[in-house]
Amino acid sequence: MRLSSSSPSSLSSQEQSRLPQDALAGRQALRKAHLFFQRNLGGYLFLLPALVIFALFVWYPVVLGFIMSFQIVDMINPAVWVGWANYRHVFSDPLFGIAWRNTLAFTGYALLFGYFVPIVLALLINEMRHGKGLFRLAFYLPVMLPPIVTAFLWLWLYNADSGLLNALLHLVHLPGALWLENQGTALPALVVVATWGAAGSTMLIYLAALQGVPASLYEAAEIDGSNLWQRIWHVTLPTIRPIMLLMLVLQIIATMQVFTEPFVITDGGPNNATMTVLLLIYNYTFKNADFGEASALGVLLFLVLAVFALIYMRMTRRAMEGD
Amino acid sequence: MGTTPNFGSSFNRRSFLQRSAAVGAGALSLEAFLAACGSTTGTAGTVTATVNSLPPSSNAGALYVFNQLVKQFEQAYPNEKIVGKNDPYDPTTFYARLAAGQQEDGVQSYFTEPPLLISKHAAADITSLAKGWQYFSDYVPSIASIVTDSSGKVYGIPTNGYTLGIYYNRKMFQAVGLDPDKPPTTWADFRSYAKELTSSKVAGFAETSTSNQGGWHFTNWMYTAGGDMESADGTKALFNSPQGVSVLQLLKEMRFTDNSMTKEQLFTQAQTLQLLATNKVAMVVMAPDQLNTLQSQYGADLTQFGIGPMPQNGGNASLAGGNLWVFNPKSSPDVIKAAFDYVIYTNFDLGVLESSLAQQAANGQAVGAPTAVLFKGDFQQKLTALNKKYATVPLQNYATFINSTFTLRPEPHNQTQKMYAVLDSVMQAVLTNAGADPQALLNQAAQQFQQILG
Repeated sequence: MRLSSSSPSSLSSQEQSRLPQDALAGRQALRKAHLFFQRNLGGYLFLLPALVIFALFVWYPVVLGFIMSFQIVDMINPAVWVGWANYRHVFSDPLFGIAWRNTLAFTGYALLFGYFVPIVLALLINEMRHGKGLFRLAFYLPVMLPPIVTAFLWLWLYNADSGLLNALLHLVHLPGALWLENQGTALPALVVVATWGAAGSTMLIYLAALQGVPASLYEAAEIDGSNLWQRIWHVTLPTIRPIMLLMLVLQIIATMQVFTEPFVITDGGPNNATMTVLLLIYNYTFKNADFGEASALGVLLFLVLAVFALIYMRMTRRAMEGD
Repeated sequence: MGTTPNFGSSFNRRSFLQRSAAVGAGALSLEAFLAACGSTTGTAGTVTATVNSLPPSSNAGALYVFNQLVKQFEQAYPNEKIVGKNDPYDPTTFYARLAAGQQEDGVQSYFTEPPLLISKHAAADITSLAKGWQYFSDYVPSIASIVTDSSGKVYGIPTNGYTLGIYYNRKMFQAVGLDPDKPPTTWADFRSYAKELTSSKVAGFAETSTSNQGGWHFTNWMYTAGGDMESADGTKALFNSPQGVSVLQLLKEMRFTDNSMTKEQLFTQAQTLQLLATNKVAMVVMAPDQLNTLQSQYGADLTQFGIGPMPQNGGNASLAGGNLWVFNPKSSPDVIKAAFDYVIYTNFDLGVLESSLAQQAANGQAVGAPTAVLFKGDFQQKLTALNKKYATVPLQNYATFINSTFTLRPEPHNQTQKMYAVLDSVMQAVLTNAGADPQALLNQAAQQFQQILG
């Protein structure tokens, strides 16, 4: 495109051709930016409230947590930098090892008891011819209870003196158990509560995945003479495998942050058998007012969870690319 | 407010900017307004202070008395106003609320709290106010020491003290042939009483073991056995002693040999009180300040309950506790003074106290719960006489408690709550595990706590 046919003749032909090209490039960049804003400004404006809220209530506290983990903070006087002292205190706390062991045990039990529950429920409901909606609702109902209510409900069910669970056992002449008072059963008992309260929503996700399995695959399998179990093993499970892997990582991330159940039901007892990392952070903060130590332990948990979060992000990206 | 935004119909870039600026200015002045809403000096020279002791609306009688007292106070101190909040002291939210500027100016708290509050700079230094009050120097030294730091600065005003004892259900005593006027005095009695009182529906005894209350009550039992929790200078853990082991042994045998305790465990005081009020348990460890809760919250008939002194095993002592006021270090001096004046006026002005007790009695409150001695000499006698005069609680049911001459021992001073937290686990272990080894548990706990002491 020739823009300046009447350019002054004092300029060399090379300069003559370069100047307009620069102007052109600049103008094009401007127009591009203008177009970009014209197209996206509305979108960014819509995003703005969410960005502000995330920044204020998620990112800013995260950054502050990192900073406070190196400080003594009493919220009255200016914070004092203490280097790694908070981390040293946290590592030397005898509860540190106990809390991590319990948290990992909770995550492990939750995988053992809880991971397959929603899959099995989803498979069963998916195979039903009648009453699908009813069962879907029934299994989802616990999710609608606030977690505190769930915890209190189970506190009563587990009650050693007058709980429903022991009453049922007595009915069939079995001895009752000290569900929450026994150091061996307290943690698994909490896993049952957490699973009961959360399985419903995971089940819905699996159900959606199951409904995405093409019917033609089942028909082909049936023609080949496969029974129900073979169909599940060779058709259903391979198809929903990506979702199962995602749920696995998500569940690990969620269960490592277990707090409500031990906080409400056992307060970390008996004898610290249900003391978890998050409960310990809570105790540092609200019982001891050691905000620095709480932040240090929070940062450690953050780093561990970040590893799982990275795995999760990688898996979702791969899944999306796979699509 | 700042400039009023113009909400005309024309809209161009300039007017948009103008409006934004106006709204911004409005927001700014709103912030200033909110800041002004905090308790500070008002325009007419009046000072408003908030206090956390407003009774819940469910307790109409107490609420009425509170409002009357505030009215009287504001008449006596025309330049000071009091705003009550129903926000009982909660150590788990106190620091966060303080940091957020939401904590009241005057805070009713407990005897256990000052060491941590002082070390965290979370209580205002009120030395000059306290020293200016005529009765401060009359406090018994052990009581004054609760609110005083090592350099002699004062951070609080103790208002009432108590000692732990045994609350028991008199009807249940009678039902099994025990004399309801003779609560157990020794550990051996206590253990056999609990056994006798236990049936398929009732447990003889329930004890606390969570929220640091296990450690608190362990300390109380330790004192009845004559043991110590930490060295006098607070540098050494001493609770892994033979006396400490004997405490755990007693509880363990009651739980697993006699089966005279609840199978359910991990209780707080609120839960054991509920068990007592609902006739699920015959005896609990409790202080007289809970009589009002027993009556107002559970509608319990106080004549059915007795209080006895802690059963002893050589210590002839029990743990003293109590309530005190501290003040928000973020509040301005004149606001702190207003809250301080209110505390002194309502608790220690004998004329006001008399009318307040009379009103409380007339409004169905539990008045006259036996309290511990706070002051030396004459002033204490006057306080005690007033309490007796307006008592609505059945004092005859607490005769052994009131007449007991055991030593009242204060709580350990250094890192108290952390010590209690460590001991919670020990209490939980002996109350939930028949195979628990008391000596090993205490040794481990002492080692842990020693690490905290440094």
